[in-house]
Amino acid sequence: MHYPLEIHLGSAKIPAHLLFEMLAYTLGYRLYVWQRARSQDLINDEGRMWIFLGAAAGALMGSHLLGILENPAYLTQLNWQIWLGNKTIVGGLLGGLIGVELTKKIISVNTSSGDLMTYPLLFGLAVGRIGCHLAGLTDGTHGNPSNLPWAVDFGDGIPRHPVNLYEVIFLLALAFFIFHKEKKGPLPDGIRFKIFMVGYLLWRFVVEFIKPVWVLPIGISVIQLATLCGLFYYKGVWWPKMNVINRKTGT
Amino acid sequence: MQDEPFDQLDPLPNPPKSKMPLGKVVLINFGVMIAYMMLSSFAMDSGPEGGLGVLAADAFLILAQVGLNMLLGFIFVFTEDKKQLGGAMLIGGVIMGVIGFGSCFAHLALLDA
Repeated sequence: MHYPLEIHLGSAKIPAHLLFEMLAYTLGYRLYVWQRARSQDLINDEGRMWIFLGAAAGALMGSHLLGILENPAYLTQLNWQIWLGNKTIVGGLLGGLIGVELTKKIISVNTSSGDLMTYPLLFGLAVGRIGCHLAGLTDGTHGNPSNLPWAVDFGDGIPRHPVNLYEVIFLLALAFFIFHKEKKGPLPDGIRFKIFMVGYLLWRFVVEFIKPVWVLPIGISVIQLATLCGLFYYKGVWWPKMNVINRKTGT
Repeated sequence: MQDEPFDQLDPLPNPPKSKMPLGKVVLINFGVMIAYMMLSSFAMDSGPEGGLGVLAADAFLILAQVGLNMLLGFIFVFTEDKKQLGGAMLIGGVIMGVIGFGSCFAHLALLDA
């Protein structure tokens, strides 16, 4: 296969990455609408609209900000091209989280809004990551060189870890884990989303070690530092004395 | 025992339809973006200089699309009966910005290579 993959429609060409990104948003949103229609959402349409807006604005800021901080050399030559051309999902998720929490404070919503977004996010991320894999080296999400039999040559003659495919497998496994957990009994309000966030942040902390990233003097990347901040925010999910997954009520 | 006639059965509960036209707004935006990206792909093969010109045109079209969504979104979101449409257009504008500029800079990376 030739990377980056382009899909031919007659004599026109569309990057597969762009199509998969569009597909990720479309299918993720359809799944959200389907789920919402079949569950009791305590937040009304207008509340949901403002929460979506808060999430989008926060994700936009967070993804680009962390995307730039990933490589501090960009800070000295910051311009619109660098600002718009660098983004990362971890920044998007954490920025979106801050945006949602601020919005909920403003519109006085106390119930969890993330549970309905969990499966759409997992599904959308998985579809989007297939697109990232097909983009090869152009979007900067590839892995380190590797001699493993499944390493992929993205066109520069160097076999690399297909980290995007690893992530697709992880996301599907995480979806299955949450689904299995819910089969045993309903989870308390907000826990589905928290398990997703903790799982994904943990994954990103680990997988960054096999990515070509700029490393801070403390031996971890800026994204890993951000994931640690996110994990600290969600300490109630994984810290044994504060574990809320097995509690019947309260988040 | 007599069966109940069908017209007296309890109707199946219909899930309430979301009023937010986000799906439609984003799909229309995707369609517009794919259309001009396809058109510009014809000119991408004409060499690096032609490619840069096409990228500049793409960037301008993306900016126009994002700007139009944002402008109309801001107007509609404060209009009582078009609030949901306004919110959808604002979110659509953000999504188009994220996807569109990302794709544009991926093309730039290809040209650099």
